[in-house]
Amino acid sequence: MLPLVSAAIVISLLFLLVMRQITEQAVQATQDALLKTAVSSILEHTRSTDYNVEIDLPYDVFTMLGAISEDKIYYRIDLDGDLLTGYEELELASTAPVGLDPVLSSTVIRGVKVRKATLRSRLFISGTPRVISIAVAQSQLFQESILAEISRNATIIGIGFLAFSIFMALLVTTSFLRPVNLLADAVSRRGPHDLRDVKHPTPLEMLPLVSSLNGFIRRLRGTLRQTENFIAEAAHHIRTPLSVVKSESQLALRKSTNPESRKHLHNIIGAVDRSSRSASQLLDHALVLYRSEKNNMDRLDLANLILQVADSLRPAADLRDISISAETFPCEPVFITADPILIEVALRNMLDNAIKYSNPDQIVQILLKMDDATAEISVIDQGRGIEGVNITGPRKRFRRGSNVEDVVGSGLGLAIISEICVTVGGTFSLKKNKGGGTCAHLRLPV
Amino acid sequence: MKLKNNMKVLIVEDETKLALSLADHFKLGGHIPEISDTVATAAELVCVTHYDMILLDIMLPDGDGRAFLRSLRADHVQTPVIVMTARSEVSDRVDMLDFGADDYIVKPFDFAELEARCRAVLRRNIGASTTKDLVVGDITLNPLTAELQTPETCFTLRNRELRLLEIFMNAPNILFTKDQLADRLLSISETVNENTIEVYIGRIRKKLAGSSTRIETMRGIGYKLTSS
Repeated sequence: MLPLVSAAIVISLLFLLVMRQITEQAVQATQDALLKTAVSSILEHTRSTDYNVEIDLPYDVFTMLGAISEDKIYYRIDLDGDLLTGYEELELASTAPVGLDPVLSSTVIRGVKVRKATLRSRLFISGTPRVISIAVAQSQLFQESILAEISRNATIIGIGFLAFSIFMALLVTTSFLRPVNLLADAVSRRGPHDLRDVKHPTPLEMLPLVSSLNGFIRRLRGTLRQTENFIAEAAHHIRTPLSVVKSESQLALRKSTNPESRKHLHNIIGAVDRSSRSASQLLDHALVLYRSEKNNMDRLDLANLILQVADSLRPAADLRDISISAETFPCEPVFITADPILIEVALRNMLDNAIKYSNPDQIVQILLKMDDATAEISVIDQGRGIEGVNITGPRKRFRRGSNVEDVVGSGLGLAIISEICVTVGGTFSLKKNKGGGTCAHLRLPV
Repeated sequence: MKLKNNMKVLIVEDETKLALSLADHFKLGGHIPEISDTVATAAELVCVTHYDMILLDIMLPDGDGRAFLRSLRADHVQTPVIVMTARSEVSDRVDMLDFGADDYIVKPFDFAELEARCRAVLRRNIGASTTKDLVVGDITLNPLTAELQTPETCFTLRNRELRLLEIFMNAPNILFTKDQLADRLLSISETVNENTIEVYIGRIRKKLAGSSTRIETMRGIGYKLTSS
């Protein structure tokens, strides 16, 4: 933008100077032509007599010179250097050659700059060659006024041109940058895991840029997918042997009566559970990343989804005599547009935490509320509560509460929920219940 | 596990050691397990034998367990199927249920959780009426509905009470140590208080009050169910 305006200013100044120069030359040439005509005309009206010279001054020439302006006109006619008539202070150019071509020059008379045409010619008077010098001069006030007027007009035109140029520069810059800005806006509005190709309409000139950007996104996506697949495969390969270890250990424990062996078997099963839990959460994390990238939006019935998640976890809760209550829902169905799998993973993690940290015979309650713009899911437990975690902000991975060391966990559950919130534009917070336990709130845009 | 006496269970699992462990577990519960490590063998077994329950792995050497499941349902075989898999994507679970599975369990799992899921599936599919009640003395227990009938009243037991009483009623007059009971009642990785088993014993004793059947404490050894 700035270089374009600077160029417009320079072009305007050059235009002004050139206009002035051309005008000056044109006016000068006109005046010179008139002055030449005047001296030639005076010479034509000069004739020699027997003993002298007779001059019939052509006043129409002076009228012609005076017609174009109020400029003063001076003339002088000398014969062999002696003044015959005219203004004495008008000096004749002594260097002018004798001939029929007038010589033009500039001089000053009475403090006024004048343009002068001088002509020297031979006359024969009584057979004697004599030199007659004729000079006609005219002040240049008209030329200056013309120049001033033209300069003023040129300045107006120059400023107009400058303004027009700035406007055009703005217009061109804006129209050229508009697709770039739109592209930048489209890319910046994307979620942190949105790695789809850029398909924003762009001018032909920007296609190489968009193509390069998409190439980069594809490479990044490929790398990410490889990582996710690796995690998923790793989890699968870890969990299958773990299930053998756990089953065998459970059988051995059931058959063993040796306290020392039973203690070891308990330790083995505990370690298997921790490894299994970590593998599950890593798999969930990979799933969240993958789904965030795909951005699969769907209209889903939240109450229905909550009931499905509750049903899937109810057998695990029943084993510990923990009841899941999912009854307090709005009369009308609550629909949101989001990736159902992501919302399900978030709900499963919230409910799983509530069950995990509850004591037998307690109740985990799931509430669903709705206002104009937000659906709020609350999972309320009566358990031990949670200490030492960020209850409102983002959660660090592998960071667990300070009071849950005896419960199997990976420290990924809350981080997964936070990442899902970033993707779907929701918020997640934890709150301690007054009577004990934790209340987890997930707010989702409707 | 005593959901039904002599329940026939088909375990379709290519990981031999895991399949054998599961089979052992079902045998200890008095059931009759059979193992198949391929889809083809499982299909043949289902054709010639009636099973009460199928435990199905997904990734099998000769095919996908989901395809087998779909073919079962297409052939109108309504045997309850619980899918076992090492993958835990929610979409997998949804797919499984769409394919006709009755439930889904993620490896590795507690035997107790597998039992709970089997119980829930059987309750849905078979119904309480076809289940054989457990009777000891003057009390009757329906394992699927968790209903305990005593001479005085009828109770609906909570999960742990049900499983504990089921253990006793399947083996009346047999002594169980606290450890044995804890192993089968509680999650193994759960932090257990020494008094936890006593709490549940106490709850059942309250429900059995007025009955001739009772849980006796063998001091320093354990508990047993007796009926006078």
